Amino acid sequence: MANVSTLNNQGDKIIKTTVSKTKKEEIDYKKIDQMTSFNEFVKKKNTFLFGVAALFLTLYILLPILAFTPVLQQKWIGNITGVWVYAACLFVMTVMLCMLYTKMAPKFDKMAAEVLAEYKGGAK
Amino acid sequence: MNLVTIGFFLGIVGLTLIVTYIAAKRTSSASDFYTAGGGLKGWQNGFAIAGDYLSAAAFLGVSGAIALTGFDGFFFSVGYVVANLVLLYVIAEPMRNLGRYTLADMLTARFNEKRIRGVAATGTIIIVILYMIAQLVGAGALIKLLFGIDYWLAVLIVGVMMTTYVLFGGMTATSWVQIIKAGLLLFGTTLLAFLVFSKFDFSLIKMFDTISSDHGDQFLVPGMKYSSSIDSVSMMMALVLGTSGLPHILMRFFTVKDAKTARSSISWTTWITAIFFSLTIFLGFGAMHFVGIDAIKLENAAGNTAAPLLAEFLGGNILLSFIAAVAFATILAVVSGLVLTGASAISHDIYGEILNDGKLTEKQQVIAARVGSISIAIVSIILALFAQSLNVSFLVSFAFCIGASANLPVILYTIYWKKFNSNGAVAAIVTGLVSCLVLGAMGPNVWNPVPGAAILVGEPLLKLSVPAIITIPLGFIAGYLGTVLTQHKVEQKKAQEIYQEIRVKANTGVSVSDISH
Repeated sequence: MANVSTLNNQGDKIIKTTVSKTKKEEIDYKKIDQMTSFNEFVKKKNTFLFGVAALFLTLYILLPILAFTPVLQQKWIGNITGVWVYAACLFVMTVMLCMLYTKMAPKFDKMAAEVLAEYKGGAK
Repeated sequence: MNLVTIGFFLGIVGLTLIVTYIAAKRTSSASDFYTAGGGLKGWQNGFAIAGDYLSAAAFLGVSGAIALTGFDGFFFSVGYVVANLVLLYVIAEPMRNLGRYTLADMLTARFNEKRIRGVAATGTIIIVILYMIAQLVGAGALIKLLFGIDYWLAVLIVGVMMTTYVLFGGMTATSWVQIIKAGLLLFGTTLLAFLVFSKFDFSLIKMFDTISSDHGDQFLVPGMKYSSSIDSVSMMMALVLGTSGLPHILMRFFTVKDAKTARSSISWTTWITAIFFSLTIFLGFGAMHFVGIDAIKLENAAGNTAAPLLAEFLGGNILLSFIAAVAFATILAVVSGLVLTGASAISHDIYGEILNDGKLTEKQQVIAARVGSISIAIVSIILALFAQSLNVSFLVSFAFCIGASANLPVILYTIYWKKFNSNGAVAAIVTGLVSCLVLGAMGPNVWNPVPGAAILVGEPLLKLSVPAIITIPLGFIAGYLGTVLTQHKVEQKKAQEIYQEIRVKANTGVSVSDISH
């Protein structure tokens, strides 16, 4: 349940025993953490984040590996070799995944807001 | 040195001092000092983070490396750019939601133990000092070259300037110096790249044809600097993962008000760095072709003056002076950020929280922060004066290596791993830190059979120039083992309750204003 806060008499600055304080309203973190909607939201978000992260890290680390193989050392367009083209693709990938994240993030914000709304509705 | 050069130089100094003066009026609390009161806008922080990325090592070092070694130099550019995604996807938002001033604050939000704060602060100080020595030694050499003043005087000028910004203007001044410099640097680089590209009739095919026919195909493929895949994989791992563990970058996420703004900051940074590092191809090839490899090496064996020399070729003395002034601003901005980060670890973490149990008043905190800034500045200046004749540019890659091996594992575990405990955290940081320093000290950057090529003469015990490929897994394994081996000793119920709070806060941002005050 609500964690006991140990405010010292100087004000709200110092927290001795880790957990929260009573300034505004107590937030029952345990309750939120156990809500089904919260866990579904976190699972969805983490699947997306770590899925994409695994993808770009793999594509990225393939560059220094493939760069020393004949595949990327060949000239692809005029005198432009494969390594430059692959590297350019990683730049494009970065900007596109950045845009993807910016597009997806508001959806997760909305889900988080819904979880908190549900919590507040249930708490009253 | 001539009037144009002095004019640009004084312009930069004047502009940054005005910024510091304005910022000083707004810097009264510890939160103002360390995080600009959390009041930066997304684009401002985005430019400031980009400014941290675009250090002298990135601007002068990368363009020089491409000019001398072709594609091997471009590896750095790719690493810096993709590193944005790691920050954006897994670090930036939870960091903002959990932290206050420092990395240690974020870790102690979960494990409120002094030893955690102690090891985290030690890691921060070591990274800051390594990074700073490299920047100051580079700065001294560069200013000596560009303005013809003595090394010691150059280091002293940079030292006094950086201390002034931080001391009076705190994070607000440091951020604005960084923003101004990022803008100038982006403009200068775009101009140089445009001029180079116009000489190749705006044709990439023609540019590559010229490099191939006039300089040789070896510049178009890797292999001039990195002999093996392993060496470059190791370096690339340090770059992409280390950025998310560099304390001066992490600290920037506390300068904005919430996770949304942290997100938009990194989005800005991604665009700025993607543009900037694409342009390094033109700077590098331009310098190689128009200035010439021999002429570059004659000025500086590592190629650090390739970009200024290219500017001189393209636009005469005026462009050279402008680019030199921008390079000067770059150095000032990056070292200021480092001073501030070092001060946060010394004054806030060690002095304020560990030695005084967080019981300092607001006024005492600000004084401590200023004393900390001066101390870290003096130590770095002295070390930089001693390191003059050493080739220390590799220290930057060591800093990335420590960031990736000591800080990143512990950050990821703290946010995402339920069972993680404080023993695991200490084990991860200490193992990451020590393994980087020990393996690094055994490597070819420190040992070289040719006298003068490295710090010490002899065969390196380890062939890897950056040991990240060994040390990053070590950091993660240590964190895992430290946790599972000591699990029975930890009070499970309480630890679980704290993690529930962390998980809710990290994912929803609830009560951010509570934590950040």
